[in-house]
Parts: sequence; structure tokens; C-alpha cells
Amino acid sequence: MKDYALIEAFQAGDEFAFVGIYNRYKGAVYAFCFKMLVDSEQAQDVTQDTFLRIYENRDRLLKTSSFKSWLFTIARNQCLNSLRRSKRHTGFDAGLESSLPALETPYSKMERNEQVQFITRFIQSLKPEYREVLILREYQNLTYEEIAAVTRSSISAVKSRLFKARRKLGKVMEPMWTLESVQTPQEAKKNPGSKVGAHRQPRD
Amino acid sequence: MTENSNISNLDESHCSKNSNEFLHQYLDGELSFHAQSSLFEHMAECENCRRMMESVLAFRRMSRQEFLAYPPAADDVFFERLAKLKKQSDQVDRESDRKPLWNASRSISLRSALALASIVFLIGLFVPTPARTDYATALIQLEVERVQFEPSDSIVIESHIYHWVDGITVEAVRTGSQESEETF
Repeated sequence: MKDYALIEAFQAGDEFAFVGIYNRYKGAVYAFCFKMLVDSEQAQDVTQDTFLRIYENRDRLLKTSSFKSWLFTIARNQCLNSLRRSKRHTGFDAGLESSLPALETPYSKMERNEQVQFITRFIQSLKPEYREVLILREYQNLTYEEIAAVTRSSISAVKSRLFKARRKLGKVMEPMWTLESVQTPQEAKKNPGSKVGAHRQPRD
Repeated sequence: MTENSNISNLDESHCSKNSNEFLHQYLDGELSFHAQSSLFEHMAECENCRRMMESVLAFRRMSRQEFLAYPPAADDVFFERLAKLKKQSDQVDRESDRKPLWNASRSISLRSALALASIVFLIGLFVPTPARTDYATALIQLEVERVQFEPSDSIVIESHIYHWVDGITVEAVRTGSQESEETF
């Protein structure tokens, strides 16, 4: 069943349609909230608040062009409110590198939990306005236009923030590539896919 | 401190703004096929851009290592909250239905409405009423015209119907020797 049909049924008073919308999007909203807040309990609360707001504002649902954008707009506002309340703003501060895990291990040798920890702490180190565009792009796969609608900003502003966040990522990950490049030939043989440039585009 | 100064200019120092933007657009699947070849040509010579691409791709791989599932227990909490919300909205609706009339908010007060009605009633009492006339008679009078004509000008068809020489037939009542009331 398509979003539009679900929304229409929900507006007509079909409570099961609302449950359908909730089941379809709760995972994506939760993932977004979790990455924004870096706190599971808070993310659950904000996810629930988001869907309760949708339930209350059902009359406004069809007036918006994209349901997904509208949904993430509500979730994003709830997250920002939650961040303001808890005063957990963390930005591009001087102590960024110290807040991230020490990059003594090359990327190819990082354990799964180390990788998760690294990206969580990297995202946490970003200011909310950079964090949200990176999450919406990399986790939710939204287009520049959709991100602009969610964050109430222009496409050029979205690009600018996204590219800056990525440049910061590049800087943070730089030691990893240096470590990768100094692998011994034996290590390189064991992990052939781990070398720098393993995913490089073909030169043509 | 500005945000720009905090962010590494890893690739900007060596790469043009275009190639930098092309790289990000390519990573987002928004770069046209035509522009891709120039990006690849640039990347073949630019270590910084290659590292930037590697970093973003590594970030994507690492982010997929994490499985973020909404806990099933949170569903129960949500549906409890939803039920509470429904109950509250039902109560609000019923309360507004049950609100007594005298407590209802009005644009004008009951006292001023009553005063206004009394004034209108009193004005109505003192306004002089027109003399009673028969409305049907008044209408007929409007259509009655007193004319004078020579008997030689008309031909009597019946006792009260006359035919004039110019082709007009009228119905009239003779009131005098030379006067008639004609009804058109």
C-alpha cells in the first residue's frame, strides 16, 4: 500500500492505516533520532512524540508534498528541542580529535564495535546543523532537495554543510589511511581489499 | 572562530571548487554522466580527492555495521501513549458538548442582547402604521385612467367594450355622458 493511500485512509478515520504508517517509518525515524541524540531512551521518546504529533495533525497531512520530508521535519524539530533541553550541543571544538577514538588501528583491522564507536563519536562531534544533513544523506538517503525541505534551508546551504562535514571526516580519517599505507606486504596479502584505493574509481 | 576555519581544507588547497563539488555530487549519485569523466581525470592525479572519496565510502561501510532497530518494548509504550491521547481528546470533545448555554462564550452579553431587543420593540410601538388600504384596489387604481373621447370616434362592440378607429380596443365603464374609465 502506498503512502498516499495509507494517509488518505488514516484521515478518513482508519486507525489501522495509522498503525501501518507507524510500522513503516518507526525504524527510520528512530535511527535518525538516535544518531541525532546519541541516546537510545531519548530517541525512543522523540520517535513516539513524532508519531503522536502526526496523529494529532492528521488534517495537515495531505497539504504537504512529501510525507517523508514532513515526517523528518517533525522528528528533526523534536530532536533539536530535546538537544536544547539537555544542552548537549557539541561543536567543531578544538578538542575534537581527543573526543574521537585513537586511530591506532588501520580501518581494515578495526573491529565492528570499534567502527560503530568511531562513527558515533564522529557524528557526536558535529554541530546539530551539520549532523542532521549528514545523517539525512548517509543514513536516510534523502536527496539535497528533500534535506533542504526538512531543514528549512536552501539546497546550496545543504550542500555546503554536507561537504564541510565530509571534509571534517576526511581530516579525522587521514591517520587511518597513513596506517593502511604502511602495512607490511604480508598484511596487505592477507587483507587485499583493505589497501588505500581498493575502491578507487578506474582510471579511464 | 568560524566554522570554515575549523574544518579541514584537505582538498580545497589543491583542487578547484568544481572538482570538489563534483566529487561530493558523484558520491551522492547526483553528478551527470558527462561530468563524471572530468572528475575521474582529476582524481587520477589528485591524492586528496581519492582519500576524501575513500573516507566517505569507509564511513558508509562503517555505518552499515550498526543495526539500529526500534525496540519492541517501545511499541507498547507508544500505543499506551496513543490510547491516553485519544482518551484526552475524547474528554475535551465531550466537555465542550456538555457546556451549559449560559456559560457559553458569546460575542455579546445576554444583558446587552435583551436591552437591544427592548429598544427595537419600543421603536416598533411608536412608529406610525400606514392607513389600512385594500391592496388589490390600489393596484387597480393604478391601472385606471380617465379619458375623454367623442362617441363618433369609437364603435361600441358590447356595452362596455369600445373599438377606436386607430385599431385599439378598450374595456371601459361609462361614468357620464362624455367620460369613461378605461382599463388597459
